[in-house]
Amino acid sequence: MALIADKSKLMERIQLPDPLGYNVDVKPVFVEEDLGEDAVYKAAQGLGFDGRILAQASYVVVNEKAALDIMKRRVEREGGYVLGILEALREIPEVRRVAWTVMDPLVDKYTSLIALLEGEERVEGYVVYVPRGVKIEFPLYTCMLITKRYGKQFLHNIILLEEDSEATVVTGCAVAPEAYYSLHVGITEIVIRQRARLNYAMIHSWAPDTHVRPRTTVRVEEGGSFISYYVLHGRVASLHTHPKIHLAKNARGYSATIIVAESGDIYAGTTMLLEGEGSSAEITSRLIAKKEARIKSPLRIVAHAKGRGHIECLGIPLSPSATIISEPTLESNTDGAELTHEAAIGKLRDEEIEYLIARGLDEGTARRLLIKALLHVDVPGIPSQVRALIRATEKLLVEKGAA
Amino acid sequence: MLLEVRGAKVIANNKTVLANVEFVIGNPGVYVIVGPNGSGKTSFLSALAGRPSYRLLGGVARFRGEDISKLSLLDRARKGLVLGYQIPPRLRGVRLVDLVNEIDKVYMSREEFGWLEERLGVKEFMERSLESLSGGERRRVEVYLVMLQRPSVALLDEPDSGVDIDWLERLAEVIEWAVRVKNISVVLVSHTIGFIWRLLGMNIIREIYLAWKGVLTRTGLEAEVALHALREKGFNGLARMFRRSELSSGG
Repeated sequence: MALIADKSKLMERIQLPDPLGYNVDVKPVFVEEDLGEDAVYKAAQGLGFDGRILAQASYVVVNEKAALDIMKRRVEREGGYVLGILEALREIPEVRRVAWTVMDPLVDKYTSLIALLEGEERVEGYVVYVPRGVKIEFPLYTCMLITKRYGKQFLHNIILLEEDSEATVVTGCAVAPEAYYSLHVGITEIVIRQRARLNYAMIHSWAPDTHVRPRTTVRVEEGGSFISYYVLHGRVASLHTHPKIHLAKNARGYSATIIVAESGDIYAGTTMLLEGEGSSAEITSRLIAKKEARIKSPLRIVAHAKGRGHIECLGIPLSPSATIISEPTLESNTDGAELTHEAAIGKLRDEEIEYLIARGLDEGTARRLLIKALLHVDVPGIPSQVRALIRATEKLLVEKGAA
Repeated sequence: MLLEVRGAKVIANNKTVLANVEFVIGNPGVYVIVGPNGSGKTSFLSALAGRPSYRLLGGVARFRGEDISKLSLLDRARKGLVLGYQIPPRLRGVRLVDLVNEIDKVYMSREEFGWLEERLGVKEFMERSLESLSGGERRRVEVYLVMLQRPSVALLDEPDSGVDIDWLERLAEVIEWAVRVKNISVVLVSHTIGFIWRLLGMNIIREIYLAWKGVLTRTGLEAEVALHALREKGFNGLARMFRRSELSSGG
C-alpha cells in the first residue's frame, strides 16, 4: 500500500517525544507472550461484554489480528459494510477518498506510526461504510482486545456515513488482566455526511501497564448528527486522547465522557468546533479519580460561526492522592454564538449523605446512590439495545466508583 | 408514651434556639406546631430526628421509652422516628425511582403503599431526577418517601408549602390515612391555617403546640379555639390566650 506521506518525515515524527511528555517507545519491536484463548473472554468481561455481545460483534481485533467478522453479512444485507481497513482501502473507493483527509498523518508520532505501518500493511482496524440513505437498525459491535504480555495494537478505523444514512457503532477496547506492558494506538476518522446520524459508544477497560493513544477526528457535514458516549473504567498506565469534532451548518455534536480511574495518567479532552451557522455542541464529562489516578480533562468549544454550545464537567477525586484537573474553555471569534459552561469538582456533599441516611439508607448505600447519579448521563437518541448496555456499564462503574 | 420531651433545650449549630421544650405524643394523631419564622420549629424536628448539627440537651427525651440521645440519625429513621425535610438537598442527578428502590430494600413498603403513589401523584415523577421537581412536587414526594419508611412518628416540616389547592386536599387525605389506617402520629409544622383547618375537620388533630420566644409548649387550648386565635390575633394573641388559660386552670 502506498505511503500517505513522505517516509522520511514519518520516520522523523515517530522519534519525537510524546506531545504530553509521557513518553512511550513506539518503535514496533516487541517481544510478545501469548496468554491463550481465555484471555479474549477475560478482556471482554472487563468491558461488561458477555459472550453474547462478543458473538454479535461485526469486527473483533485480538492483538494485531482481526479474528471475527461473523456479523458482516447481516450488515451487508442491510446495505452497509463492515470490514478491515486494508481491505476497505482496496475495495471501497469512497473510503479510500476520505482516508487521512480528516486526520493529518503528521500530527504526532502516533499518527505517523500508523501511517507508516499502514504503508507496510501492518495495521488493523475497522471500517464502517454506510451508503446514502441506508439506516442500519441494529448496533454494530466492534471489539479491540489485547491478550498478550507486551502486546500491541496499531489501528486505523474509519466510519463513513453517506448522506441521510444512520448507524450505531459500539466499540469495546480491553486488555486481559494479565497482559502487562501493552500499547494501543488507534487512529479513528469519522465522516458524517449531510443529514446522516451516528451514535457512537466506546467502552474501555485497560490494564495497569497499558499505554493508550487514541487519535480521533470527526467531520459532521450540514445537518448531520454525532452522538458519542465514552466510558473508561479501571486502571491504565497512561491514556491520552483529545477527539476533535468539526460541525458544519446545522450539525449537532454531543459527547459524554465518563471516567472512573483507579490509576494512571489520563488526559481526556474533547474539542468541538462550530464551523457552520446553526451548529450546536454539547460536551458532558463525569470524572471520578481514585487512588493515585490523575485525570486532566480539557474541554473546548470553539465558535467560528453562530451556534450554541454547552460544557458540563463534574468531577470527584475520591482519595487524597487522586487529582482531577478540569479545564472548560469557550472560544468565539464570531458575533452571536451562545456558549456556556458549568464545572464543579468536589466531594460528595455531607448534607446529601445525611439526607439519605434520614431516608433510612446506610452511609455506604447513600454514597453509592450519589455516585450512581453522578455517573449517569442521559445520552440523547441512543437506541434501546445500547441504552441497556450503558445501564449495565453504569452498574460496573458504580461498583468501581463506590468500592 | 410514644414520644416524650420534657425540659430539654434545642441546640442548632452550637446555639440554643429553644430553651425549654415540653412535647409529648401519646396516641396517634396530628400534633401541630405553629410559631413565627425562626422560632425553632425546624430545629426541633431536626433535633428529634438526630441530624448531626442539632441536639436535644438536658431534660428528658424518649422515643418508645428509649433515650433518643443514644440513637443515631439512622437508628431513629429505622426505628420509625422519620423526618420529612422542609428543604431537601439538591441530590444532583438522583432519580426518584432509584431512591425509592433503595428505601424499599430497607422497608419493603413500596408495593404495600402503591396507593400513595397514585394519591400523591408521584408515579409520574419516578424516572425524573429529584432536582428537576418543582417545590410543590418535591413536597409531595417528600411525604411519600417518609410514609415508605413506615414511621410511627412522621415529622413533617411544612409539607404543604408551595402545594397547590387540589394537591393540598390530597395531602390532607394522606395524613388522615396515615393516622387512621396506619396509626402514625404526625408532627406537623405548618403556616397554612387553611390546611390545618382541613385536618381539624377530619378530627385528627390532637394538640396545637406553639414555638414562641424560645419556648415550645402545648397551648392546651381546643384546636379550634387555638386556630381562631391564631387567625384573628396572630402568634402574640395565641400566646396571651393560652397563658391566660394556663393561669385560670392553675397550670
